[in-house]
Amino acid sequence: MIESILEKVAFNSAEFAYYKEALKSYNAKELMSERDYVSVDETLKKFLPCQINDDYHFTFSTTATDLIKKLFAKYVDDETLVLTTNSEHPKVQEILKKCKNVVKAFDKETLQQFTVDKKYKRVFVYMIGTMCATGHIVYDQEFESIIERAKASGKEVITVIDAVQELFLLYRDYNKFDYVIGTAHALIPEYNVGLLLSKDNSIGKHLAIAQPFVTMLNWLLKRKEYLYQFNTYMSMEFGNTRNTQFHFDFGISHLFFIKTNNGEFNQMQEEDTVRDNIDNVGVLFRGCWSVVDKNNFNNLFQTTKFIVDGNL
Amino acid sequence: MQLIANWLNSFDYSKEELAKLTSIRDSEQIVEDNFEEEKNRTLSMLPFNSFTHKELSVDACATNIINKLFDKYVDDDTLVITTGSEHHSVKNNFKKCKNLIHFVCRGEIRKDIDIIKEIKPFKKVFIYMIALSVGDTHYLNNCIIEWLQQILKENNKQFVTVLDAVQELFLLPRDYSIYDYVVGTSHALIPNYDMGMLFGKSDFSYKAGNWLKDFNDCMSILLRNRDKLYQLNVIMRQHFAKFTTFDKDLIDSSRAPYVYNLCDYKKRLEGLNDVDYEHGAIVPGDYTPVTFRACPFLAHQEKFIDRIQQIDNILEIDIGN
Repeated sequence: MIESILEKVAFNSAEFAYYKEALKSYNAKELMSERDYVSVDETLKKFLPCQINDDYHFTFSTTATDLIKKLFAKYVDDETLVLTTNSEHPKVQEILKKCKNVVKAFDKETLQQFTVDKKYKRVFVYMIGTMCATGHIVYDQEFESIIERAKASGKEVITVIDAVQELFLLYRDYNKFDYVIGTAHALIPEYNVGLLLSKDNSIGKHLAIAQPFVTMLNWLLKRKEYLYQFNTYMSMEFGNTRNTQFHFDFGISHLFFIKTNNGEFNQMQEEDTVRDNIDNVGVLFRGCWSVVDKNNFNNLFQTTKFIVDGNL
Repeated sequence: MQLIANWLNSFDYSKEELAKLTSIRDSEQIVEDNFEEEKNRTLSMLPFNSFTHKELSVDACATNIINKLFDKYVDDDTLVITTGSEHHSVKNNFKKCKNLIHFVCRGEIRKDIDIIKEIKPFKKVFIYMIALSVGDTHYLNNCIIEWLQQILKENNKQFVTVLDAVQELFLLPRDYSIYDYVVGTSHALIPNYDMGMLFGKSDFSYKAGNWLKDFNDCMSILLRNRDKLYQLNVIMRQHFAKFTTFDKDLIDSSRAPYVYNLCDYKKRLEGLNDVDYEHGAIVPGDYTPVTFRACPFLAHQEKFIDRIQQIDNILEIDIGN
């Protein structure tokens, strides 16, 4: 079913050719003109499902990791308390290892008991918004609870949401955060442009590589209905409920993550698999990637299907 | 509540269009003119549909259609295979069925049923299964039906397969070609508009082109913002996270992005029982599920906001914020 649907919704040959051409220069560091930047910024803000205030702007970097590192460098020192979750991306976890004071505040008990010690001058909240491996979406109210407690301490509070798995697709009020981190490659495969939405113009740059991203994102979002039906399509493909070794959930419409703790996916290439916080290894399918590069998607889909069906 | 208000404001409907979404079917008269044209319009609105038999007929309500299907296909020599999540109008038909098994419960095949043993005494089997139940977590996967049909074929049984798709039609994609009949209802989408729909190989309801035209006109307005309907679940989960984050007896669940279910295992929300189905359905059970669906929400915004405030008040008192 999914393969025949992709024949209708995937990038056409002209769009795909543009994408392949854009990939050749995604890491270029040229800046765009001010006029072009204003256009790119306004267009990207219009693409957000939930309206953002006028004083927020997009800036860019060649990777999201670069933006994250710069944010940590700007705000985190030995007198800063970092509030985060257990579910951050491995690259963020690497950065967290270097921080002196870290509280992983995602579990309910920690949230309820959380207070800020007097010794800290600042609280830096860095939390992932949508977890592809668990299907969990962290909701604004959970963030608010943390932010309110941090602010009640009277300290400076900086809030960052890592929205790489949800930006432009999930309805969330980003006005509540100081910084919103995104990455183009969660939407356009291999296009590793980091995106930062904030009131701060000092972290990211007005990189020209954002322009092709806007063009491709526009094409992608025209297929939004399909993206929101993607999880259902994939559930149909893998939903043989007689096979209890594999699990998936309905948490995020534009993503599908099938996992098992029996090791069946260990035979796949490491870059095609994702590990969640428990013992599960799984395969992550992104609706966006299926639209942009259907052949690559079909290869991964067929390999996974072969393994899953072979275990029936 | 601000996020919900923002979401409602994001729909680009005019006042006239919103009024159209609450319209009723004001005629009992059946005019068959333009039925074929309107039928094709209806079929074109299904997401990536794959009906092999492009037949459609309509009736005053889905219950009429369901009753006719049971009358036509079920007698004392027929085994009815169904789920534990059917609508009460379907359950009324079950009372008349001599031979019935609940093969699927909440989307999972029951492990204690040996299907080959169950079908053995019967020549005829009538499969009637709901596709998506908004009151619990039931979601029927096509592969269950395909597997069942294969067993029936191998055992030389005559069978008819009906999918009750009232909660998913036009909103979730599915390959309908494996079903003999697919039942739909307009009021799950246009909440005040009553019309049952039957997609299938034979038609024993009406060809009311006038009803279908009204419905299609409403649907073309509604589906212009189909992507926004898909945000309901995420928005409601965010709203109620102030309670669900801290209270293990409150679980949110749903198998469709345009539906939100809040399940209260302490049954604090049972006081809200006397509400009609469209305005946050409440079905008693081991837990009290409160269900919100995007289409009725959009059409009756004030009532739904009021319902959310009631729930907020009840839970605020019990667990605080």
